Amino acid sequence: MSRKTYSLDELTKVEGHAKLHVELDGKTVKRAELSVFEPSRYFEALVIGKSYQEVPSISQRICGICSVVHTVTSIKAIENAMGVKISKQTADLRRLLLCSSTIHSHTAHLFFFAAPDYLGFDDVIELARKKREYLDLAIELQRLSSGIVKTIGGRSLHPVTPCVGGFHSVPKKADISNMIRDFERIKDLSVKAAKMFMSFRPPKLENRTEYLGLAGKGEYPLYDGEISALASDGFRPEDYMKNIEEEVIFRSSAKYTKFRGKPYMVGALSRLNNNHEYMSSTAKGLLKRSGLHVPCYSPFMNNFAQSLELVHFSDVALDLLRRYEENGMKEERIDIKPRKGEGFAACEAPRGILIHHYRFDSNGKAAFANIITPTCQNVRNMEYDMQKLIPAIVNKPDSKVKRILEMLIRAYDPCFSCSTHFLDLDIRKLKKH
Amino acid sequence: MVAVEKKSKPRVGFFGMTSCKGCYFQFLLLGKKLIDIFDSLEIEHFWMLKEDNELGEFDIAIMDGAVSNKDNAEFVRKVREKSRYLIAYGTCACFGGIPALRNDVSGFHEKVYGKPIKLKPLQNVDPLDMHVKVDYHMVGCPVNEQELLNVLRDLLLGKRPGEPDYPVCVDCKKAGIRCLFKDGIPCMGPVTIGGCGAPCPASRSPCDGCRGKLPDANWGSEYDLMLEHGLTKDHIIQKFAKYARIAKPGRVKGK
Repeated sequence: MSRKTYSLDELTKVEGHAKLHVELDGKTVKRAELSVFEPSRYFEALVIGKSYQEVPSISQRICGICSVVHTVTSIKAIENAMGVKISKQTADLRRLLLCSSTIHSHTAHLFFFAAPDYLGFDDVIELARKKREYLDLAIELQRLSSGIVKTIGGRSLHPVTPCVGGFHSVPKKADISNMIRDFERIKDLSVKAAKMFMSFRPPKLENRTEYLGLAGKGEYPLYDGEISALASDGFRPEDYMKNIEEEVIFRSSAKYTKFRGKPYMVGALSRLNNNHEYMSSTAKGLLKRSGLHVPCYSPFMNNFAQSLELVHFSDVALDLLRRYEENGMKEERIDIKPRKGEGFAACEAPRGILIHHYRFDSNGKAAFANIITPTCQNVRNMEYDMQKLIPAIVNKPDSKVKRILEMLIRAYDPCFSCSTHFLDLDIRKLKKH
Repeated sequence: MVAVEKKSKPRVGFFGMTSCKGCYFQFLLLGKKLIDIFDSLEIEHFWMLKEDNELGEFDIAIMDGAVSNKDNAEFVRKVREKSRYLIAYGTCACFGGIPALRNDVSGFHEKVYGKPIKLKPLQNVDPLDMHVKVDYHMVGCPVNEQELLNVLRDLLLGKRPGEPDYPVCVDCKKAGIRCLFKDGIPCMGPVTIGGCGAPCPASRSPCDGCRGKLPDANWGSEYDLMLEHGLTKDHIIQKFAKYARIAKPGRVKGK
């Protein structure tokens, strides 16, 4: 038997470290495994014994690119445990923070990691040398969106103003008008970005799976709602344990999940599939113009879905901000009495559903924590997609196969440090005797 | 000290170990300055941005993250051997950061993964200079991207960049920010390494100490102040040990 092994040492242009192992027997995929090698950081143990006030700022360090949504979800779960009611203004400001951080995260992924693949460049550095106008668009979107996160959150990364009960400080009236101006500019640039991603031709793959996303009250939510599944019944965040199984996989430092025993997808495409009818009219117009049929079963279209979300979330943010344009926001007094309790929260991170779950003792010290990140949920589905994709591309040159598989993984916008955890690609072709 | 030869573009490597990768993203926040960086430096290694990454020789190595296992320890030694100037990039690299909280927790593997499984033995999470010689400590969780720009500029000019040696309070005074203690808000600013521009106090959020411990700070006085402002003894200790278990970088172990 002749055996052929080809390997790629690192999956680059993703966040964190992971490795891919594929074994083929003729056209049959024997194994397609993605293993996360990011060193374990044990966040769920790190918070135990810590004061509830310290928990969000520890939890936010799970991830540098989606630290905002970790902060917000952590705070929401603590409030749920302690029965804290928040004001409408606080909820709106959190929605606004999630809109801007999602735009910031999506632009980083779309332009710095994903687009060089579609445009035939090795990376953004080469792209910067040969297509400067393209990088200018990316940089402007990054500058504006991170600036807004900084205005609301105090810092553009690891925000400091959000706290249990509300915000240490709220944007001033002048900040609100500046944010409206910036979001109008973001929206114009986002429409350009969406048209650009609409023109890209990703590899073909139809692989129907289950799509989970937050849904509720006739909106396309980031901050609240129940967890909805496209092809079956949804569930409430507090029932996640009954519906999502977490598995410890020996080869990986991430815990992988299944939804009622099956792989599933979370993220922009899942949100689009579940909630497209509630998109803003500009985003809907672009979706119609693209000719994309929804629900869409091609994981590669996750990138196009992200670009549509840039437009949609700018519209949502503009709508929210205009409500405060005239009267501004009020500084609110926060008074928390810690109490014993258990709390759950689910938000939409840029990469999909994020669940935080804690228990606190009567002094407000964390006694238990469980966190389910989007990439943990997507890994099984990436493997499932590879099973279907590899036989169709196996006759292509090795370098091409590797490139397509990398594009597939990258299309999910994986965050391996979130899942606890870069890609070594190790493909073994087991030829027939 | 001339750290970088001027004749050709300096070869730069960005590396990451155990961290949240947030300090990498701070680099992307440099915006239009990124184009100058791409023009004036040869970025030879950057997993997150580049397809081909070679572990060659580097004039400047920028290392993000702490050392949390044998692979990390070997990797940082290898990078050190190949680099003329090594920057510990971010609080995890300088002090161990939030991941080093695990050094205090027992049975953490079972708490996270449920049952004991066979893995390589776990070691403490260490700052880089417990393993190699570090030339510059860029503290912060996340780092201040302007500081990175200043350090790179100094190195390009053949200057030796200086590390900040003053508390966050100096940043507050410079920016005209009203002291949070005056409003009854306990703050870690007096005992924390400054140079960040005090973005947290500027938004009326207390300094959390993310830039690590100022070597000659008055810890006793800070403790009393925190106690006066209503924090429990237990909570104060949690705050003091949050980002930096080691008080001063650069003193632990030379190469």
